[in-house]
Amino acid sequence: MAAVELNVVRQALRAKWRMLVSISLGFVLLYYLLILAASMLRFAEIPNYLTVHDVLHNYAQVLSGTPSLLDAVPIMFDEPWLEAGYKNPRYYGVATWSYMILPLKMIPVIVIGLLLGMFAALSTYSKNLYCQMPHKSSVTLAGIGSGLVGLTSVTLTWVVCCATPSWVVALSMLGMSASLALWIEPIGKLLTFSGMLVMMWVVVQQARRLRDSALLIENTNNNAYPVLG
Amino acid sequence: MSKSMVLITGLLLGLSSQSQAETIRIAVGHQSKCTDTYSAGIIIKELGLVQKYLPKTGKYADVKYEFDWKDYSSGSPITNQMLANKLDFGVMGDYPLIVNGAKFQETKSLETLYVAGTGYNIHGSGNAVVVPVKSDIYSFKDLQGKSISVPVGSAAWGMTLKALDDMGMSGKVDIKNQSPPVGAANIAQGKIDAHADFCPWSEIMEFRGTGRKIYDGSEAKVPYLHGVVVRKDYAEKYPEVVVAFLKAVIAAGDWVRKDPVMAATMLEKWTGVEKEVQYLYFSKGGTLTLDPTIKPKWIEALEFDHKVLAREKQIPPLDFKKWIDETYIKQAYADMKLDYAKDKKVIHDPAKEFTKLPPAEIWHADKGIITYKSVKAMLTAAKKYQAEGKLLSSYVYDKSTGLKLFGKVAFYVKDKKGVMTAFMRKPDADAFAGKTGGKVTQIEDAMKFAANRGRDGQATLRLAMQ
Repeated sequence: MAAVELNVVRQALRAKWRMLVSISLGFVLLYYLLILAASMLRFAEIPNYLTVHDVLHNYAQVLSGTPSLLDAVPIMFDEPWLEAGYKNPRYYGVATWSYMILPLKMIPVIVIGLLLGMFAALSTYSKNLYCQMPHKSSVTLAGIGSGLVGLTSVTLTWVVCCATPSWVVALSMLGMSASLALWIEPIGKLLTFSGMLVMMWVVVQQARRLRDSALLIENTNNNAYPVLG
Repeated sequence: MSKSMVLITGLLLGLSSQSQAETIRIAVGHQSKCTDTYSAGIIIKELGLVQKYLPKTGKYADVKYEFDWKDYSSGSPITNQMLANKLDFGVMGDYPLIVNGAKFQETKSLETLYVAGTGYNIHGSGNAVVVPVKSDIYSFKDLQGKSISVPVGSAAWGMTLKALDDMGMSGKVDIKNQSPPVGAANIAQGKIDAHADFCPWSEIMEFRGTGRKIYDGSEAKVPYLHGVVVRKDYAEKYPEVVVAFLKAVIAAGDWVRKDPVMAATMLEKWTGVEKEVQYLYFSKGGTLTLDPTIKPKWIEALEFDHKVLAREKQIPPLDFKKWIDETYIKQAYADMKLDYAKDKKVIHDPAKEFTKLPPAEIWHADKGIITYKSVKAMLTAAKKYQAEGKLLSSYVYDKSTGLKLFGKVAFYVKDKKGVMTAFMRKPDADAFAGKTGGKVTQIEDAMKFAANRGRDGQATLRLAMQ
């Protein structure tokens, strides 16, 4: 059964690989563009600086200065590759806000993009081949799953003296009160994990539906009356 | 490249690095927009003070020192960069210091040491709540049901939470997370009811005429302090370098105290923060006391701050005994033939000190700082200098707290005898006026009054002499 499922998924993804790649990459690109646009809208400012960090050198530095790998990995997660933001000239050029791309923190966004791409590819393949539309609930759940991961993977920083992770800072920047944002803070990882699980479940469900349809057609073909003559 | 080539290259690289002198990095994260950190940051950087004290003998005979100064607008990124092994030293305020110590102790293999203070205010001045200058809010209690922005996680945030607790207003004010420059810009545009911030942001808003203080950190009665942290692995490897760094911090404090006007002028050049604002901190009777000693009261304050952070932000625990290390600063004092124990005991209290100082000053564009025997005399002169375009700033002391203020933002009470007394907050001025039968005025009216009374006074004197 699992072999059939995998086989069907493989066929579907092979047939719709362009869709898979474009949606996966498109999601990641759109996601980061949206965060940048939201920040620009929020502050009504266009970024006036851009810094590209030597992230590999920085990783090496973290590894050389941190005896425990268990410590080094989470520190490396906070290393940015690209940073853009607005430095306020009226206030001594202090950066009002910064938009960052942290390679290791991109991983959940890339995974979600990939899962969304798979869901779209499987759904389209299913629709084309078996005239089967995805369930509305699956589409809703896909939105929730990607939304949760997207929300908790925001990499905006703010020049404040706080140790809050970037996603909570982003909530505050977008208008949420500090007390509510801090209240939500501890559940960030749980939200990311839940979002991932929901998204995986949606893809698996879609793969099962596709497999069931494929089996149904196969059985129907096998049980059909032989053509006489 | 063949395997043997790789091996040879590796060997050659190894040999060449062995024959080269060791390079010791001194990477410092400082904050040129935070006045309390200057003695371990911008001053020692610009005056090259660390270089003066670096060890050059014994195991340091052939070493090369490489400085890397990185300027930040808050303490949090300094901690991140220290964790990432990009900085060895960090200079920051009390709340970020706590986060620094706790974040490092949370790891399995890294730690920092809190090795010295930089500056303090015993009562907590330096943090303040500011409202737009035209706002009709005059006291902290007026903020009930309104919004206040603050850099969450900063000392100003801790002060705000304590003030809300003290006044039974917790949950009755909407707190928004806001960075200093955005908060200052919002105050200027009247977009927010109030903004709480650390030094020098409140004073910058006052100096620029956009904001007015309604609450000073001294009312929270928790000391406000800054200090130096260093990575423990670095301090163990190069203890003499840490001591040299702290000697530079001591020397920086002396440099400021020797000539505060010159220091304020140089600091404006280096940081962009106006010299008139700098003077408010670094002059005699100023808000800030530069002092590298670690006092028992600081540890109490830091423990209190940690409790606030733990309650609000769930930061990890911090073992203060492991974190605070006075060895290096004591050594620096000893090497400089100074008495650490004596300095540790001294606590400068501006609320007491200001009574020994002239009650008012003016910073004149050509003549520099001029001191006055009375507030009224200063106001009379201020009117004249303002008309001549020579008035850079004026300074008075708040009668209630002893806090040094810009003359232009104070509330003045003129009593029946014509004596002028300055206050930071209007409710205090109103109360004093009620007691003395005086009248509350602001700078423009106060200057007019003082100038008229000045003439009257001179006329009366002439008559008496005749």
